[in-house]
Amino acid sequence: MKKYVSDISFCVGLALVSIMLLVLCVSFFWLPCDPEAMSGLLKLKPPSPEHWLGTDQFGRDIASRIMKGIQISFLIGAIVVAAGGVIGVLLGACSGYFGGWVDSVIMKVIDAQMAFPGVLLALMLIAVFGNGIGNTILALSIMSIPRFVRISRSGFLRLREADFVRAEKVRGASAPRIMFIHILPNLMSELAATASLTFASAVMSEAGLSYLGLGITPPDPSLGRMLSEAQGTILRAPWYVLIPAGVITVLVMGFNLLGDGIQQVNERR
Amino acid sequence: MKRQIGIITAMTLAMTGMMTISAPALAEEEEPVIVRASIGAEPDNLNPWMSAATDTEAIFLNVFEGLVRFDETGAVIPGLAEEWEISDDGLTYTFHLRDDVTFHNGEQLTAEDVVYSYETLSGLNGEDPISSKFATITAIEAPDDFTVILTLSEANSAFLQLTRVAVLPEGYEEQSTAPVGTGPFAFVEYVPGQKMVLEKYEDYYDEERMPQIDGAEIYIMTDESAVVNALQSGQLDLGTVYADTADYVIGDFEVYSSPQNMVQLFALNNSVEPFDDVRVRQAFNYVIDKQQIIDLVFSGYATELYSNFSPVMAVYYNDELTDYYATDVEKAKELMKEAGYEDGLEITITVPSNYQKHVDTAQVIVEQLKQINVDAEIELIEWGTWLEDVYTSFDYQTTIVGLTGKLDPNDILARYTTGFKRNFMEYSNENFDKLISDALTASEEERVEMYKECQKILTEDAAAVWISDPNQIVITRSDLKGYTFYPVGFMDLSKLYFE
Repeated sequence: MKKYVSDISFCVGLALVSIMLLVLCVSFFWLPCDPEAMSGLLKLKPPSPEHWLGTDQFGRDIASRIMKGIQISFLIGAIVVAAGGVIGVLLGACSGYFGGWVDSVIMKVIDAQMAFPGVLLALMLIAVFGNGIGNTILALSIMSIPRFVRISRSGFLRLREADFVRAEKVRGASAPRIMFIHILPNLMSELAATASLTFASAVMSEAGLSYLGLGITPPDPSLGRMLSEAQGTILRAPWYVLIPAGVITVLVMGFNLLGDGIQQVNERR
Repeated sequence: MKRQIGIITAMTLAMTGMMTISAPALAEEEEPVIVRASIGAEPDNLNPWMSAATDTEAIFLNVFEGLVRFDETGAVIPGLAEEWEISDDGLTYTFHLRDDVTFHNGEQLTAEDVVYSYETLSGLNGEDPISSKFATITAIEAPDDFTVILTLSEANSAFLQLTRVAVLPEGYEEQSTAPVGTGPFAFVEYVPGQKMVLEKYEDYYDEERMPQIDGAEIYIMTDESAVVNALQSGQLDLGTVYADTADYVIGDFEVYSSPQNMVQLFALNNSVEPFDDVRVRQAFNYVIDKQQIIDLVFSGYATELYSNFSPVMAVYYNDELTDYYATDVEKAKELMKEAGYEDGLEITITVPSNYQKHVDTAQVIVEQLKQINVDAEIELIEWGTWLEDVYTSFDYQTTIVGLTGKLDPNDILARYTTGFKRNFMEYSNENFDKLISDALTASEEERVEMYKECQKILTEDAAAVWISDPNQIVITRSDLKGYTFYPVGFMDLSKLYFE
């Protein structure tokens, strides 16, 4: 743990993520205003004591919408990491541990998927399944699988001939037992770094898709959609565009630094 | 050797010098005068017969012309036909064509082209009619090269106005990719997602309508602030924006504004549950606060509507319907209770994603509907998909869209008749159908009363929630003059000139 604390990226990343987590926790219990209540009188008002971050073009409280938007970002990030992680690690484990034709088949499929640029793939999936939270998560989860597969495959490849694995084999342990009880814990820090980076890229991709009008459907507040709505009012309310942009930056940078930090510490080890 | 190089360099310099001196002089002489304008949506089809979108028509009225045209007041004026006669029974229309009209491909317009056009439109060539409006034509004759006689199966006082539909050259198959018309501007190219290019048609027949500019580039800009930015950075000479943006253009610009004879409506599919129940539709009318939508979405620059009719069409507008459904949440709740939806309802609003104002309107409506426990979900779809699913196959529950203004009240209201191809509200009322068909043969005074009655029926039946007629705002560079508004969407490029 000491190694982590001495790493600057890790500390800054952790601090940024903690701030966001704090906002997230608060948002579950308390919001400054109803994030969907509209009012013609409050249209595009600058920040004030009642509305800390001002109001948007429908007179909705931006602060409340940002907090709600962070919830959605975390929800998407968490599910994408969980789904992509579980499937990716399973595939990567099989691929790396068994090798042979299993490895070839899995890696060919993964390579084919990686040939598609990420957002293009997501656009394609959304065009097929339609937009909305569920489908955005589905698309981003599929996008995140290859990362986990490659990381876990290389780990399993490295460790499958290790002495402790051989010892377990001699003892007659089953393959799943060796894979998930003996090898997997050794890969945790690498997977944590990947998870953190995947989380950041999921948040980013969701914002991008929503910005294009394809991710989250209105009126659900999404940081990306807020950014695109704010863009239309940039001449009247320049502060509005800075708020979602800033939050996305902090969120993505936080998780990226966190991931980088974990990676650097691992490499030093 | 060194000297040689020196000489060559000097010569090169001299030559380039000469070239740089002469270049601007040449450019000044031949620099074409181009107007760069914006439209808010991708053209849906380059063939004017196949196109349904307002923005597309606004541009294509420069490229295509019909037998008649219309002026700024909406009155019918001669187009390709210099004059016409209508028989006393209203069944025979004789058009006398001009003999000096050529298509952009150089071929002369003759009666054959008109016959071809109307046969295709009406389905008399044995194929499916392109437009049901022309289904009443029973015979098309061309006694000589410049006379066309159309015979109708029934008198239709709105028919003359329909003959402004584009006349296209016979035997030309590439209208959908390289359209050819007779208008003052010829189509040059269309770059999907970017622009359409038109150029002045040098051989245009009407000296008075001869364009004063050499061409136009129409940029497709779906985002309002992009239009404003483009105007301010000098990339556009003319831009169409919504009211709330107009005040924020800083610099040397002129702002023109006018109601545009459009009907923005929250359409409810009358044939599906729960909207087959008139009480639900009325409840929706009571709960939706149009003024709030106008304030929030249009910054107040729009006119409330109470039926499918804009007050711009003053003669036919029924002004007694004002506030027929004044916002009343209690009444709405009561009606929902009677209809058995006391505990609420889940609905989907299908909105074309490229029209930000409709998306914004949907967000306000979602919020307003919460007051009667209606949980509305917004589904954003592409314009092309909207045209297919909603406009053509009626596969939707509710939608928000703007209906283009038409010049004839029949065209505006006939949309609601039973079985009409574009009756995507799937509204059906016998009395209404009868009035619409009777009005076609009635005298002008009777027509006025009948169309007012039609509006009343629609309102009473709450066939839809009509929201507003958004003002059209056009911003031009202050030295670009001549912008003219028409009661239908038409960006008349032939009237524009630089001072």
